[in-house]
Amino acid sequence: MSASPSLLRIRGLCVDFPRGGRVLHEVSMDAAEGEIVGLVGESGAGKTLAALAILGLIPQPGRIAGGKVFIRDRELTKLGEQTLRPLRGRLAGFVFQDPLKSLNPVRRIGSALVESAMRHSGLSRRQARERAMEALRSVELANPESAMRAYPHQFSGGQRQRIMIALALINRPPLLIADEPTTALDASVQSRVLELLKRRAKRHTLLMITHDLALAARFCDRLYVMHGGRVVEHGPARELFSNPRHEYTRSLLDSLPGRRTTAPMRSKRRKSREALAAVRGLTVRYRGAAQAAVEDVDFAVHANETVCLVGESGSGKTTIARALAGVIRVDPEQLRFPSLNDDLPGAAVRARHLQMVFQDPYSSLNPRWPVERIVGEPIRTHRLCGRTEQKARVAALLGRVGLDPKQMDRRPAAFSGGQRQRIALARALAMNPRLLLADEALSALDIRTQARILALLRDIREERRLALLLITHDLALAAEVGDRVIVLRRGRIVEQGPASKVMNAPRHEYTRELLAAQARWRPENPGREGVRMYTPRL
Amino acid sequence: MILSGLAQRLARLAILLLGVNALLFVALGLAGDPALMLAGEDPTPELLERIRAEYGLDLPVWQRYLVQLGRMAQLDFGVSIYTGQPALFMALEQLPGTLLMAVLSMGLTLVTAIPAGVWIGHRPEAASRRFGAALTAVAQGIPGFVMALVLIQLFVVRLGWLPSLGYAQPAAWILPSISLGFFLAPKLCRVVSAGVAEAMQEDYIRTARANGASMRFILWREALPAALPAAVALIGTQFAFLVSGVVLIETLFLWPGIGLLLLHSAQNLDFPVLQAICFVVALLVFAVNNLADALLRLIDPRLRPATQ
Repeated sequence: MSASPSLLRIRGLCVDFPRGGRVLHEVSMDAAEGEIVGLVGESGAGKTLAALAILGLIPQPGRIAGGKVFIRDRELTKLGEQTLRPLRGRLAGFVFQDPLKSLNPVRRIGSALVESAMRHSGLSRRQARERAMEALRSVELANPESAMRAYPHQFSGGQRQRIMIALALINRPPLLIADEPTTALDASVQSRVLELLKRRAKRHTLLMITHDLALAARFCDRLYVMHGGRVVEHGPARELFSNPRHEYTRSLLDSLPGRRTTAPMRSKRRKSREALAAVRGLTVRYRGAAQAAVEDVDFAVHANETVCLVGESGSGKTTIARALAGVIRVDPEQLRFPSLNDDLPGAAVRARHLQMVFQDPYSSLNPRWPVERIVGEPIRTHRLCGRTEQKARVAALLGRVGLDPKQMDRRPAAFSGGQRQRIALARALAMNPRLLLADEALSALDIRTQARILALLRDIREERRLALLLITHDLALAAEVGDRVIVLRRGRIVEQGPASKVMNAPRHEYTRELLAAQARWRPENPGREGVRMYTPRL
Repeated sequence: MILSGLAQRLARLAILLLGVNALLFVALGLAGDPALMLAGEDPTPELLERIRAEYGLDLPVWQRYLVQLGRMAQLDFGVSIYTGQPALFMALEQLPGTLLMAVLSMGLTLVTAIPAGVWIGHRPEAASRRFGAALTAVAQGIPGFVMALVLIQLFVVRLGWLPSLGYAQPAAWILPSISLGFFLAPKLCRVVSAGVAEAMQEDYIRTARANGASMRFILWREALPAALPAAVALIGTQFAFLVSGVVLIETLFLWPGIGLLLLHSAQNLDFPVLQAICFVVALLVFAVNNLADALLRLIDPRLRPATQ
């Protein structure tokens, strides 16, 4: 590392916000030419802010309160906006998390690229066009000629992220900063984008921001771990992974799927053989769609078992959930609830016995209602009990999901993402359901919170002999918690069976591809008592 | 695909014209008897009978409706009860004056409201921008004709800088255009500023900044295009209301246009001319709405049908 000259040098960087106080504390960091440096931590740790501060891009009204930033020994922190602006994109290019939101929807790809090239390099329009085509070719985008004329929404997520990379690299900056570049992408696309970044990193220094520690360990040369606006630990990636010194790094590592100290959710007791929900030949076709969203899908969910539906976006997972929840109508023969009161009409069966927890804990709770009303709503709607008893029930439910019942007068804004997901869970449990449907309910949470919510779900499932249907794109998670795993692709089931079998001996080519895509950037052996990533424990 | 879209639009136009015609027929039936207006002082019953027979006013209501409907289908609105000229010709003759004012005031609206909207939307939390926003809210609350009267009082009566009547000299175009602009400009300014303020929060603005774009570039090339669809939609839907503004402004400035003709014809219960004017205006509104739709599709690629 000392052999190659230093490219990026950050010394004692502090950032203040007028109301939030100091949010970055004395952050120091180095990146040598050609190095891949990872910046790891949970959301809110200050990773993105530190990266934005390099080129003075901190959002208003924040400001740099101290410290220095150098790129190739040029001190950037003492430059004014007018001097700094032309350096953006030339000293460092940015790739942001969500490529759909990060590209202007009403501008053509070509115009964004060409104008960026003209702005900095003093090229003529024709030369800039050449440069743009070259940039699109370098990110291996098929058919750059027609891509130049297209708009962002006409591309897939992976293609959009390639375009973002092309845009970041068009002025050939020595430093490429990638902020969670693959978080919004599917597993197989993720690995292709990462491979591309790795190839590009041969010519550029790469600063990679991610919350995914396993990925960072595999991908980066060196890691900086951030927590609460501070760098708590740094070092070579392998070393940090196998021998973490700081307590926070250890707790992050322990929360990784397959390394969690929590027991798996698989039930030890014998399962009941009677299906709670039986899906037979389920087919859903949206109006105007050429292909069915879900086609001829068969599976059953039994009491006291965890079934995981796994697939990439567009595979039909959510459509199945919507059919189960009764949001879309399907032929009653295709979807039955045999062991529930079949004399009730379908909608009543669902309301009583099937409850859902959704992905986004921010938009799935009414922000104007206090928690008591949110959790008590189903109780009141179905007139399960009187007002005083309702309050007691809500208190008990909140206590059960690990929240302080005294906080029931507060509104969702007062709670963190994990706490909100607990509130959503309490609301779902208020009806005393037999089947709980969790649609990507853990994906929006950071890894340590995820582990805690999983433990809670497991306990509650055991207690109440619930059937749990978990919808996820995360194979590692499915392997960890599921009794049975169902792999979906383009609306069809490609494989289903016991979790251990599907993960260790996948029969279908697609499952193998998915496993390989997820495993490629994660250590096959994180170095702790031989716990392997996809070995389920009993 | 395109053909069926066109057929759909034509069908909508037909329904619109039928509706306007029917409404007008009912409204005019309630307004009074044109025979009384034509016959002058103390008409004899015989004279009234003769006039009614001449204009077909003695037929039962449903027959009168069908007759004028059939005529409209042939673009025949009859002759003016007053001047005896063909009604449609009279309406079309006044159209250029109105269009001149419409184009002038629209141009004025665009060159003032859009920059003002961008300026306010850029940093809506700053004190000066808040003042600007409050000003547009007040301007939106002032009725256009009040504004016109104030302008006449100030520039014509007090200062004597500008003529107030007619459109023979371009100097007389200024006040009517400004007054009419007041019907739309404050609303447009608010829509643009809201759109720009919202766009400035988007992630792609951060991308542009990270690429070294200047603030001017970001405002005009990144944020404004994102705000334009809402602005165009507003112009499309507000155009019909602008017509009522045209009547007021043309009356106040005695501007020879379709609005002034409308007023005179209504006062005289000149049914054929009223029918013709409404026909022309309905067509105009329809055309502008469709133009706005087409423009929307042009500036917002997400509205275009998928071609891939």
